[in-house]
Amino acid sequence: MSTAVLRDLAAEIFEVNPDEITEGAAFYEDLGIDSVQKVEFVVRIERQLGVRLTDEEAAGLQDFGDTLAVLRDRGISVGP
Amino acid sequence: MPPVDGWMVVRGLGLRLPGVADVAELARLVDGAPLPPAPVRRFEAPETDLGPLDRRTHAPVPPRLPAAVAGRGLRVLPPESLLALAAAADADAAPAGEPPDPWLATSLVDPVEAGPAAVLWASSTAGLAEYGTICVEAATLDPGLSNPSIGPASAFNGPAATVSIRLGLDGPNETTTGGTTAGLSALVEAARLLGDGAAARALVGGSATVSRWSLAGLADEYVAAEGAACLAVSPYRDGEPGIRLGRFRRTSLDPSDLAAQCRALVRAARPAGSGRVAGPPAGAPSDRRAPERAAPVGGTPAGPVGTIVSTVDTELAEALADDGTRPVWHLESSLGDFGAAGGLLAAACAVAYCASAPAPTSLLALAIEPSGNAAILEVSSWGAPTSSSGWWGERSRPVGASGSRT
Amino acid sequence: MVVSGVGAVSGAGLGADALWTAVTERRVLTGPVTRFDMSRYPARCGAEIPAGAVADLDAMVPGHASLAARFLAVAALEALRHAGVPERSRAHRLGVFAGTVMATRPILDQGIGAGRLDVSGRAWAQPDTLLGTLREVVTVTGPTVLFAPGCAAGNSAIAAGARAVAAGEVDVAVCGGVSELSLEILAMFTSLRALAVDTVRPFDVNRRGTIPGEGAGVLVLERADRVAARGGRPLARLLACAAAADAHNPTQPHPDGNGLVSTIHGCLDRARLTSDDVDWVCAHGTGTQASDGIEARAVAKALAGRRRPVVSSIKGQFGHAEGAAAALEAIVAVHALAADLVPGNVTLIEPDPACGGIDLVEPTGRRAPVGVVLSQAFGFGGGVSTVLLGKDDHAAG
Repeated sequence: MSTAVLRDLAAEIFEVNPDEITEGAAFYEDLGIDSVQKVEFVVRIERQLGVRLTDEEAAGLQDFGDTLAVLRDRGISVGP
Repeated sequence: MPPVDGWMVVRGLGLRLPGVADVAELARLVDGAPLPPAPVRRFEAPETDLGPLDRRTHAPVPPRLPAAVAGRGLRVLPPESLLALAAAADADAAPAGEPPDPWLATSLVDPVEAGPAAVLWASSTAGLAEYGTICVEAATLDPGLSNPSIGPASAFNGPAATVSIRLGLDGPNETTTGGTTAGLSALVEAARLLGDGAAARALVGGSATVSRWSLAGLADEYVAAEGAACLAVSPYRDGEPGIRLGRFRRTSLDPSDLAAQCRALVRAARPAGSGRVAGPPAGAPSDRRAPERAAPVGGTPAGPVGTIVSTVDTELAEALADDGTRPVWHLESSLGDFGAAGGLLAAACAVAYCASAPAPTSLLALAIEPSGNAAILEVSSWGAPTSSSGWWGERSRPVGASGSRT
Repeated sequence: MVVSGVGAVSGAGLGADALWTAVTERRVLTGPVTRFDMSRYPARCGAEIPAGAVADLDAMVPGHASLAARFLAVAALEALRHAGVPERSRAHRLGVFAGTVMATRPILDQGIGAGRLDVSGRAWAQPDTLLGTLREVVTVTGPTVLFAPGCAAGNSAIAAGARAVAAGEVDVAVCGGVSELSLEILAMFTSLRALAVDTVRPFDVNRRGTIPGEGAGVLVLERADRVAARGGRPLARLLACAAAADAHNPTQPHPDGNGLVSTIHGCLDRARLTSDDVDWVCAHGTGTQASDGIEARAVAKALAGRRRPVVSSIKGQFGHAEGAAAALEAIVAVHALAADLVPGNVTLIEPDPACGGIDLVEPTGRRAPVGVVLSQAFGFGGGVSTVLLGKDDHAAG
């Protein structure tokens, strides 16, 4: 999966433009999503990539940069 | 007889129904205008042993959300919540730039100042397809992979919650479900909340959506109905012109003798010769009575001109109509089976009809379930212009002089 | 307006006495779910009606595809007999006001296996059938109203029954809430990562989520003079009910608990009481991180007075029985009033400092005069419904 596809997925679930999904834009504070939107993002990633995130990993995702980092830590290559 | 709950006055009526563009069109249907036949559509629930089912039902109703309630946060809302929201938003506010219809009461000048607004909604289908989907996902996906946005929408209260959240209404929020009386019970509960001051106004609605799942809950012989209706109501103030709802009665009838007991219920709701019950309040000018409305066939001067009944028992509806004295209009035979919303739709049809006819006009809305659970109320118009073209004057074509029989 | 009888089906088994005994004995009734195969789920606990109690239903009420329908019927029978109201009489106007979250939909859960969903019958799509068993064993002469407003359902039903009695619509209001354990709900909360793995710990700093439960609670409401006329003794008075909505978010309470604050004020105003008159707050307290904190702050704000409000949640013991929760909690409140015993937060180990504005009852509970209890409920969708119960001057016990 590419970063662009992942960003589009986040944008769809968060109901914002993809260009608002910067690596440092905080999901809650900057993008104004709620916790269900965040957990839906996690589940959609899990379903598409066949990966399972722990509760701690899921809770730790504060922004898109965190998401990329967690996936890379799991050895999932996220291209540009 | 128990003490009578207070009357409510109608401040708005929002509709999202197939083939019904506005309130006037709904009134024409009640008056006998035909609805285009519903096409047969196929419904499926993949990965279940519910086989595909062909069923007469109208094309899905587009929500047409008013701009004021559109926007972010609607993505995962089920269609039924969107229909409910659209109908409620219409009921809550007259279209921008247009004066309110003359039949709508306007006593609440500033509804926000008046006090809390309650939302009461009737549905038996809200959340059902979502519930089924989560069950399928629980059967076919690993635990934790079902869509977390669907689950919270799998209960019955999605419409009432959505209306409250999107319109910012923080009064009591209730959902009724079950059979067709649930829709009338939502109105009765609203009247009580208004009566004891728990709310200053209320949006009372009902909705239904069609899916392979919901078809299992409907009677087989009717069109599977989809849509929403919502009445905005507030306490009736003496002398205020408009359309009001009241004289509620809820009871259990003996299911072994429903037809006779229903007739008795209707008779009790329209005592013969009793203009006091449904007619103008004492002191109302007698010239406000429109002669052709006030003397329906076999009727008494100011009594109800007919009954709108919601029941999935066709024989019962026919038996009521055979009583002969007043027209009976059967909701399910015309618009289809709305499940728990049926009673609310019956009341909404009665309001639409009264709005189209010269005042005073009065109709009964009745809901009966096979168990015998029944509810009835009276809808009557009051203090309108005497024009034979009804409350809408030149803005809308009037309906004819009598309700149609089914 | 008085409570003249109560009946319960809970994780403690059949009967309101079993419910109260479990409270006083501080039993924790959550445990591994046996009704569904949850071996692959990360959190596998529920608060089930014991299998023996389910089997006992056969001798008490007719069969039904919905367990919830049977729970409701058996609790209603118990409550009517407790009140001394004949269940087969046409001499009074008896109405039924029932609250549920999912009604009969959990029948579908029985078809969840590996692969396609097995679906049998149609009752799961017909919420009215939830009342089928009750109608077989109780003669209903007045209205039947089924509320499904989310997890405040039980209190909504109590409030509607009270309105019907006050309006003279019924002589006897059979008010209750009911729920059966749902694998759909367990699957949903698993995806939401909101389930506790072992124990529900409301208001604890280490709370990790909730655990679904099930059951039914029924309270019979009547006018006090009607109970007195047949020589009966009221169990408690229903002082006030109030409802509101957060109008905020489908799944999250308003951060200031606006709806809850409004209902607490509404109850006190209607009953002409003040914060200091409330001896116990029977909390919603589901054990989820966000909700308990908001609730604690809202209660502290709404009941600010000479002392911090005294609060506990029984969900550490019984899980979150959803449609049944509020009704079961109202029954516990009735017992607390009669026994002058404030139930404790049985699973509480380390109170959350963020909940410092309320006086969290220690696990052992407290012997203290209990004259007024506030019992609140809220849930997904933002609906809040709260009831205020008081000791009856002539109450039993």
